Parts: sequence; structure tokens; C-alpha cells
Amino acid sequence: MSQIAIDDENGFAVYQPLSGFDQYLSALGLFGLFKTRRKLLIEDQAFKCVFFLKTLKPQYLNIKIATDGDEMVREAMHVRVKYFNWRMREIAGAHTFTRGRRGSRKRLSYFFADPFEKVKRQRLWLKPPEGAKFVVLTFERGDYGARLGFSSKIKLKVFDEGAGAKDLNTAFQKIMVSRDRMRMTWFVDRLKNEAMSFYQGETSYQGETSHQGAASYQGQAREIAGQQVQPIAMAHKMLSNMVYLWHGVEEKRSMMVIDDIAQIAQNGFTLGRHSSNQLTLEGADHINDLPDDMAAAGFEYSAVLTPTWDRAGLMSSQMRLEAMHLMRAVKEAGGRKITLREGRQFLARLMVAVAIVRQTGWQLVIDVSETLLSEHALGEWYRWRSLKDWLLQADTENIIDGNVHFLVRDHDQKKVLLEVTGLTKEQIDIHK
Amino acid sequence: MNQIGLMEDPRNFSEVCIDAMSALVSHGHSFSDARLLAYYPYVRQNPYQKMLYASAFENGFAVTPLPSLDAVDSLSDRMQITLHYHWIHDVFKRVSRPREAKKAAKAFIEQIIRQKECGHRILWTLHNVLSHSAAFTEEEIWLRQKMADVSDVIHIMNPDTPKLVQTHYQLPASKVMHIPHPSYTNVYGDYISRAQARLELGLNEDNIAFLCFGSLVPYKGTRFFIQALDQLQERFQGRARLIIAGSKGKADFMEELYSIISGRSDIILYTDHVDDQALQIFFRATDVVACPYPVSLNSGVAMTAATFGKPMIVPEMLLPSFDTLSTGAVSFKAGDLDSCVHAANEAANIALCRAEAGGCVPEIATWAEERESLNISANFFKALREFNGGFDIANDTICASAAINQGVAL
Repeated sequence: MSQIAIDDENGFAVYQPLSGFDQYLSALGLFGLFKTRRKLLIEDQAFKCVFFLKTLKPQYLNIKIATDGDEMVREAMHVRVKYFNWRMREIAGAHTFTRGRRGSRKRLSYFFADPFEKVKRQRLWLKPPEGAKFVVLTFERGDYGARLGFSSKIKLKVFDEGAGAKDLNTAFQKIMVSRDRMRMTWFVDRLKNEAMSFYQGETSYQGETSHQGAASYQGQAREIAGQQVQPIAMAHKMLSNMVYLWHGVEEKRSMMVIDDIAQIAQNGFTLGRHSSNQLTLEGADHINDLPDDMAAAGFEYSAVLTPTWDRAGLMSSQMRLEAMHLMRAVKEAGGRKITLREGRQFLARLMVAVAIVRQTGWQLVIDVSETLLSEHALGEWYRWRSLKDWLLQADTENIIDGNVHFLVRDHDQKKVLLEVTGLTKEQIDIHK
Repeated sequence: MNQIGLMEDPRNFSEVCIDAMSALVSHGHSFSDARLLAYYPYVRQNPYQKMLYASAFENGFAVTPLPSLDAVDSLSDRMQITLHYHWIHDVFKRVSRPREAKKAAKAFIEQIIRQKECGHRILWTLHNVLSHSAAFTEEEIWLRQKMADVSDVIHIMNPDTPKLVQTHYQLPASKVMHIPHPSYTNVYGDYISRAQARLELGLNEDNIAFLCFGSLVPYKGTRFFIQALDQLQERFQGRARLIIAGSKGKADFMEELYSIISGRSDIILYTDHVDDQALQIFFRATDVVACPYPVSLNSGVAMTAATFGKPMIVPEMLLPSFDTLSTGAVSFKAGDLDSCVHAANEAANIALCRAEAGGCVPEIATWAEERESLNISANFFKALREFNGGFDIANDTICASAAINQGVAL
């Protein structure tokens, strides 16, 4: 069968090659100036169009790319984005929206080609940098194996922040199938805010109890279809879809951050897998040989010791670093006792201190007089109404150790603590 | 380029054989003891052949790749050599229908018979029961049975091979020569520390790392082991990690793999060829090497694991290859997920309890050192010589020309 016949059969004939006039306009960056709705058969040469930027708000161009093959073609086309100021001087390194597998080529946005019958809309997102007045888009083939047809109304549209579904589940279902990377990224940010708007261990905003939120995030992520689930599970599902579609390293990293924090929330934090201390710093063992009076001096642990605590990074890595700082601090304090007080990252610090104590046999006093009934967050995805709630949900066997004591304000707090943990009365002291 | 890919080789196969004989004589071997061995097909990326032939010269053999099946025809009638065949399913490479496959298999066997009639000895190394992606099972079984019948010597690496293949074809016991798979000691670069390797792969100290290594193809059991990983995560409280490393396979399988693992941050995927120097990063960093193959007679990956002193999980049929290894090779019932999880657990326990600070289990590494390629190669050639007996590869003409070329008195 001839190629023309095939084209007619699958409707591919609607795509026309660039005319000589189009090429002339493209050379001037004026492609699409006279005829905005285009259906082009993509050949080897690139075509270029320039837009005047009326605003610096995010804006987009809708495009559709078809292939005559049966399968979706990943990175079938790419668009090179360059921003210019009034004097037509390029603003370098500005287009960073679609960084991914090819991180070094930040200016490029990649697009899929869909089988002709199932072609879907995709969006090229632009977020003009300060001072940008023009943007030049160069459309090029990324895949030279398949036949490609391009269709678009060559006109930039400004992003309407009010548009789109308000309901989280509806928005999730819609964005999941959109293949709009930018909207997905924004949606994950929205989910992050949603996650912090309700407490773990309580009835969630959607009427489901979220006791198992951290524990079964992966399981939930697989049960999403049509069900109401937690934002963290939605984010996991969304990111995993993004990793699949774009092989993006940033999305993969975000997913790792989620898995990491869920892992800590579920299983607690450990320093090493062996019984021996993997993180023993030089001289830490020596501390155990101190005379009793010196050992009792201890270290007041009331603030994060790590100079910069990256909330968006892997929590376990931050906590490992914190553990190293803490061990050094205890050593410098010349004792083998840690007294944990209220302060930033209380939960994370608590887990770090417990992990150290479990490995070194030092003493830990956890002062919960100010924190037992106050709100606590862990990373960017988990929040508890109180330490009491967290203790109820956490595996307290990992925390309660012969070397761990709690300090409370009064008998009421002591009673609460006894109720939610398996502590003995001797392990809880009241502030004098 | 010649077969080894080092340089443009202007010599024809006949000239290479003459040069090989000269080299043997100049190496100190008597002409009557000198042997030539030509092997087919040559596989560039797998060092197996280089390892097996590592001590050829020391044992009176000169080894060269056979550029094509009919290259032997150019040899003089009185020059007989040993023809060593490896992956014979290559004959099906360019065929798409069973009828064509049958024809190709028949032509191949006819050629082997002709070679035998010319006085060449036929040696066949049996790497698999059937080729991994066997498309023409019936034709391949026929080919293998005929090859077994025609061969003078059949080299096996797994001692249970005759038993394991007997449902498909029979190996005459008198022809079977068992020489185990060499280890990769001194073959791959091995100077990076475990800590450095784990850092490069982003593994923390508390991670239990499993490795699935080798080209990414459906028959390697990667998908199966990913299922096992779910259960292992329960055992290791989410601290297990799976590293999948190897060259990309076919697009549809890769797409399937991507879709499975895109939502998993506990799986590290490296889809590229791993060169001899980079390989150590994966094997040093890992705790347990998984060979979750549904069928496997021999495994280079398992031997590499042993080389780096790593415990491994292998299918039951592969276990006889490790029968002299006291600890470190844990078997599972092929296709049985629970059995695989149990084996992976046990192997991880070995890694956790018996590995030294560098992550190496000493018993395994010592076992592998004993199977260093030079030792195995020497055994291979000694055994081959015994099989060849008084078989004389050279005729008087070659003898004289070699002597003249090298100025060696015979």
C-alpha cells in the first residue's frame, strides 16, 4: 500500500508540510502570524515563532502531536524556549520548567506523540522571567523514526488561577490524565498544603480515619482509582505517573522524599541495621568510661544542631546528620545523658535521640511538659494534633527503653502519658 | 576489524591458524603437542570466552575466533583443529518462521558433519537447556539433540546438566566433560570500597540492597523479584532496596518495566551497559545478588556475586554449580514467590551476620578465588587434551613451514 493511501486511511493527510512561505516566516520568527490554526507534517527542519509577552504571569500554548504508529512516542518533539528583553538580549537560563532526565538542557520542553486516533492535548508552559518581553519558541523533532503531525492554535494563553476543579478528588482525576507536567507539579504543591491541613490519627477531612496514613501509603497509592484517599497517597500516585511519563529525576526525588518520611512515620528512625553502632563518632565509646558524676552532666538538647535543616530534602538524611551533630555535642558536653526539650523539629529530634540512646546505652530524658498536648509536624507531609496522638500511633516499643525517661508538668500529664504508652510510673518524673 | 575488535586484520583464517601454530612452537611447545582451537560465535561483551581460554598457551593450545562457519573450509585438508561451539541457537537469529528455522538448523548440522568429515574435532559448550528467548522450541530441541550426537566432546559447567536437559534431549555420558564456570576474580575492576559504592548509588547504611544484574529482558525474572520485594519490605521494615542494572531490552518490555517501577522509590534502575570498571560499584554496594531466573543452567551473574563475596539467591537447578560452596548460595523453587522471599531473607541474613566490614563474606570470596579463570582454564585444556588423546592437528607441511618461520628445530 502506498504511503498516501495509508495517510488517507488513518486521516494523517490533514497534516501538511511547511510551505516555502512558512519557512520564510519561520526564519524571521514569525511563523503562525497570519494563520494561527495549523496542522503540520513535521519534517526534519525546525520552525520558529516569536511572541510578545504582555504579562509575566504563567502562560501556555496548547499543542497536539500525532504519530501514525500504534504506540505513544516519548520525547517525540521538543521546544526550545528563549526569553528576550526589550533590546532583544537573551535572558539566559530562564526556562527551567521541564527539567528532568536531561537536566543539562533546561531550555527544552519535551512532548509525546500519540497515535492519530487518540491524540491528546499537551501544554507548553512558559513562566517568563523578570524583564522578559519576547519569547522565541523553536519546535524540533526529537524522534526521527516516526511520522509526526503537529496541530496547534499558535497563540499564548494566560493561566487562569481560578480555573479548574476545586474538589481535590475531581482535580486529581482530571490532572492525572492531562499529561500537563506543570499542572501536575502545582497540584503536588497543593496536596502538600492539604496534607498539613489535617491531623494524623484523627478523622480526616474526607471522613476517613487516617491512622494508617503513613503505614500504608504505597498500598493506598495502588487503591486510588475512584476512592477518596489521603493527599500523600495522591501525591505519590501523581509523582509516580510523572516519573513514568517523563522519567523525571526531580519527580523521582520528590517521591523518594514522600516514601522516606512515610517510612520514618511508620517504622521510626534507626541509625544502622546492625546492633553495633554504625554512626559512632570518634571518641563516642570513650564517653561510656566517664566517672558517674561527669556522665550525669548531660546535654540540654533544645534546638536543632544541624546548621540548615532542609525541609524538602530526605528526612532520614537530615536526621542522620543531626545524629552525628548530637553525638559530638554530647561528647563535648562531657556526659552520657541527653535531655530533650521543646523546640524546632521536636519529633525528629526525639527520634534521633532515641536512636542514639538505643545504640549507645546513654540516658535520655524527654521533657514533654510543653509538648505533650501541642501540635507536631514531621517533614512536609505529616502533622499530629499533639504528641499524645503521635505516641498513640507510633510503635512505642521503639521509644520506650530502660534508658528513656519522661519529664511531665503535673500528675494529669503523667496520667495521660501512662495511658498512651507502656511506660512504668518510675519512668515518668514530674517537674520540681 | 578482526573478530576481537582490536584492529583491522588482513589475514584470512588459514593464515591466522598458521600464525597460531608458529606462536605455539615459539612458546616452547613441541609441534606434535600443539593444538589449535577455533570458537564460534565470538561474543564481545561477555568475558566468558576470554576467561575460559585464559591459559591456552600455557597448555599447548592456541585459540582464535572462527570468523564464520564456512571459514574452516579454507583450511588445507590436512590441517585439523578443534572447533568449539558455544551458543548454537544463533543459527535462528535471522529466521522468522518455523520452517525457516528447521532449514537453518539442518544446514548448520550438515555443516558440522562436513567439518567432522574433514577431520576437525567438535566441542560444544552447553550454556542453557534451551536459549532464553527460544522462539522455535521444537527446532531448537532437534538442533541440540543432533549437536549432542555429532559433538566429540560436550562441555558442561553445571554437574547436573545431563539430568536437567533430559526432558528435551539426551547427552551421551561418554562425551560429557565437566569443567565449572570460572569466577571473575582478577577479571573485573575491584578497588572501590563498599562505602563509596553505596554512596554513589544513594544507599544508606541501614538499607538492605538486592541486585538484579544483566540485560533487561523478560526471562531474567526481574518482574518476579519486584513482587518478592514487596514482601521483603515487610521483613526489613521498608529498608530493602532493589538495584536493577543492565542494558536496555526491547522497547515493550522496557515500557512495562518503567510502568511497574515508576511509583517505586525503593528501586534503583540503571539502564545502560555496565562496563568492566563500573560493575564493581553495583556488586560492592549490594548485600545480596538475586538471580531470580525461571530457568538457568549456569549464571555469570551468580559467579560474579561469588567473586565479590556476596550471598546470592539462585533457582534450584543452578544450585549444583555451587555444591562445594558451604554458605552463600541460597536456592528457591523457580516461580514460587514464597520460596524466593524465603531465600532472599536467608541470603540477607548471611550478608548481615557473616559479611566483613567491606561487605564481603570471606567463605564465598575464597571459594571464588579457587575458581579463578586461570585455574579453570588450565583444567579445561587438560581435560580437553585427554579427550583429544592422540589427535594430531598438524600435517607435515604446516609443521615444516612453522619450523622455518620460527627457526625452531623440531
